[in-house]
Amino acid sequence: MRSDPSISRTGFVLLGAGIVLVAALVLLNLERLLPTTGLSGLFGGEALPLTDGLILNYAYWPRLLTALLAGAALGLAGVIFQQVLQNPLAASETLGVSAGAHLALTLGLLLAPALQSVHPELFAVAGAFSAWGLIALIARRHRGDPLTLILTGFVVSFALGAVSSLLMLLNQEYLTSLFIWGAGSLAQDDWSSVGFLVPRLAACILIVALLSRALLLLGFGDDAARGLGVSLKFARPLLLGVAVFLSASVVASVGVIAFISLAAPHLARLAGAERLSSRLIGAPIAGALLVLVIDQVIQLATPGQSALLPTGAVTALIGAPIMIWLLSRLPAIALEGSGRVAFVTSALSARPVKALMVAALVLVAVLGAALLVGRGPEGLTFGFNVGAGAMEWRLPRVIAAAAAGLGIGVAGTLVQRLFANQMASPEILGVGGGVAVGLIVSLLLSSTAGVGLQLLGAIGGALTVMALLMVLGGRRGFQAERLLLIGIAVTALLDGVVLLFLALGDPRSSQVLAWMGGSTYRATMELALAVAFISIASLAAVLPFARWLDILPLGDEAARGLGLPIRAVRFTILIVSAIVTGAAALVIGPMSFVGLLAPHVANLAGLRRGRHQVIAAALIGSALVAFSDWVGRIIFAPTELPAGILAVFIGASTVAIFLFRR
Amino acid sequence: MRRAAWLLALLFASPIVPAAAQTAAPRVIAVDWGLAETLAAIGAPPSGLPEMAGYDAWVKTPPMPSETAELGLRVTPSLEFLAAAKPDVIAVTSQFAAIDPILSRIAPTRSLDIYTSELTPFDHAVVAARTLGEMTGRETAAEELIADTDRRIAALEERIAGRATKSVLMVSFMDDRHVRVFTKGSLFDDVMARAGLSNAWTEAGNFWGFAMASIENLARLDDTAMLIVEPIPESVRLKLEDPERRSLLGQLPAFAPGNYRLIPPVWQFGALPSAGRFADLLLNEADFLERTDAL
Repeated sequence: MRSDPSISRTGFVLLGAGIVLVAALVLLNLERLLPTTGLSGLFGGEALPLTDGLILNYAYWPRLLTALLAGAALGLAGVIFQQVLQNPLAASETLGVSAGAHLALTLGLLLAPALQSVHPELFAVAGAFSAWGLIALIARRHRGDPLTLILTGFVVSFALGAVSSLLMLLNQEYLTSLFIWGAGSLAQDDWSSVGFLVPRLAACILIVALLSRALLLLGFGDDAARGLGVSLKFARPLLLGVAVFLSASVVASVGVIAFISLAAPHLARLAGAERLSSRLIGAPIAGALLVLVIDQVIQLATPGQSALLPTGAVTALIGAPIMIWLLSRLPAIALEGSGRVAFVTSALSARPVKALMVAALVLVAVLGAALLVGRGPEGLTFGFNVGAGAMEWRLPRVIAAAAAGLGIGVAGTLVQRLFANQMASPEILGVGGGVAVGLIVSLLLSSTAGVGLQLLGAIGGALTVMALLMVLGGRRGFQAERLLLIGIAVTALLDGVVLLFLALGDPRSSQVLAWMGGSTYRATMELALAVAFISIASLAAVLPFARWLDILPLGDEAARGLGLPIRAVRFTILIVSAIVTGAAALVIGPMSFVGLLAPHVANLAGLRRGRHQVIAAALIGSALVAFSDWVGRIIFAPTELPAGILAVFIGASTVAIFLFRR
Repeated sequence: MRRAAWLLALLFASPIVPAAAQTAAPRVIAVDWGLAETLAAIGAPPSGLPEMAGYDAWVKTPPMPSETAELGLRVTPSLEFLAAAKPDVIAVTSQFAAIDPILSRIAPTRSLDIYTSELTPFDHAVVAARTLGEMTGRETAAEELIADTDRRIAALEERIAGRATKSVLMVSFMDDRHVRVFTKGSLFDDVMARAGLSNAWTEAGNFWGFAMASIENLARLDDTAMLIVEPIPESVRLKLEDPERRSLLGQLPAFAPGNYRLIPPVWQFGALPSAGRFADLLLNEADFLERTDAL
């Protein structure tokens, strides 16, 4: 390594400690893998049994090198993303690049299995660049506003993820193969991954080295670079292309190893690598060490079953605490010039009551259609009692869907106002993720968890995340990037938990998957009425205090000046929105994006007074989820598509269109 | 909102259609493929089946008659299509417990578990066949199915009796680096145990009787008869046929040409018909399972 004055002593100490840790772990693993000779077999003391040699040479060493290469590639990709985009949150996962690669691999497995199995990189690269292209297209409209870029990446990732889950749901026999790609397994059985990654990483390092001056200038912004007479017209897309290609290559060889490209550059910076030149070296080293340590520990922890715990699922799990910890360091890496993103603007409606009437009419029309129009073996049916008691089965589903949509619309508006941020929503802030983790915990506690226990788990999860947001996010008046970071971290934690649940082959995993998809199929009248009660009660509870919603976004001082008991108000809104998010998520899953979309559509219609917006968002959310549920039931009947996945798709694409049309 | 209230009122006033009238032979629909194949095998094929295309691809036999209606996904069978298939009873397993309250609105459900934490799917499959026979009035056919399955396993047992056999490893490739190994608790393990064959994989699997393993985890199993369930991914085929043997897979004696057998798809989460089919497939490979001095 080149000596660099800006790398502090701590940096070298950390590097040394990392290397010692890796060496110790490697020795422990070798000891385990050489049961007869022990380590002496390695150094020619005793003859190595044939099988031991094969395992070392075809599985252990390639796996070790693959971990190093994948970690380094992700670390380098992370630095490039963060430097070029001038965005500390930019990474393969947050920009949707990994999700794009994963979806393309899934499609490949289903449509061209032979080609996908031999040349996964074709699919991964195509998918990663398509996703990135889509996000870049939208982000360009916003002149590179860092937060909008991350928000777009998050939304697009989820839309792509929704398509992936739908494909998995429709092809359950392939679930395990698809799951391996998503969870990132480093198990090797030859040198092909190493042979694949080495030339690609080397070529990318060469390009980055040649463009290192441009990369440095990009950090000062386009204007400064132009002032210096350097054209960045080609350097910028080329460098971003390198980062996307590196991410795609890793996904193609080992699957999604979450969080490394986000965390590695920050770890390098924390170790003292302030300058770009030292970060370019430090981040790949940090990424490589991180992946290597995690993977060696996994191999030690699951001897004989090295395929049991996929490395990517574990990095997703431990990535969350790393991100939360990074939060405490955020002042040092704050986003520059990122204000509150208001991506929907419109004139204040002159006739709000009329607009609300229109929303109510739309809802009634959707409910009517959902109740009356069905599809049976004879084709479309119309009426109350077509087929034996069809109405009786439809009613709880329609009520549950409409109530969940209503609740999440209310929660979305509350959260937006609470954090004085238009892009805040239960999904994006990780409240949905918290609900999911809470529900999984309730399933683990009791295999036959009833509605009561499920509600308790879901609401408990929502409250935990809300509290986290208040404590960690509130330190500096709810900076958008802090909130978003918590959201990303909690959502990654959820991914990790779900992946591990699937990895362990738990018989309840199909139940969890079905619920994550957000199908109203299991809605009994009991559940439907419980959710309806909670949703309507929360709307009713909010209305008398709607004035708070107008005052809160003005800031604490203004609110206090107007006589608002700010702490009590915050606390109340937090509790109400957590309860209603938890209840709604039981029906439509944790990630519907309706909580983001519904308040925006209300806003777009000019309904910006708190009272009007919350009613409108409730009506719109309700209509959107009921519509998704109805379409999901009839479009491919008898095959049903879950309402939650359709709502994500409708919701996320609408948000993307809003962002694009701004 | 008044309109919605009106709709609700009308709805609750409407009479609930009674369940289909009882006939001599009740119609049973199975949501689970294992129960469905049992029904087809005893001559009472279900009038509806979820994911028929998947059944044809993965379970294959016994085939479903053309009258059988598609019901949608197994996790969410369409209620409207299910009702149109007019079942008198719906046979489920406890994996469907979450949707049981929904299904039982169409017809009473009857839970028949095959895969449980007891890890004895074969015994449960026998009970399920007998119960389905009683439910459909085809007790004799059910006893015949049980006897036939026993006969097929006995034929295998007889063929290998008195000869030294290798322990058997049954795997299904997920990709070229990951396999699903069938363990105690799988139907395959039960059939092998009944015929006197031993499973080469002795570690515990999951509830469904399988474990995920990397190729590395298979390396230390020697003197094993390797059975690979088709279909295999293209990348695995290339490694098996690679003349230079540049992978661990290629280096392991168990995957050398002639040392493993590809066997056609058998439904791994099935019941008696799948068990019988698996016994037949093992019988075909009986020579391969024998321990020879050449190895």
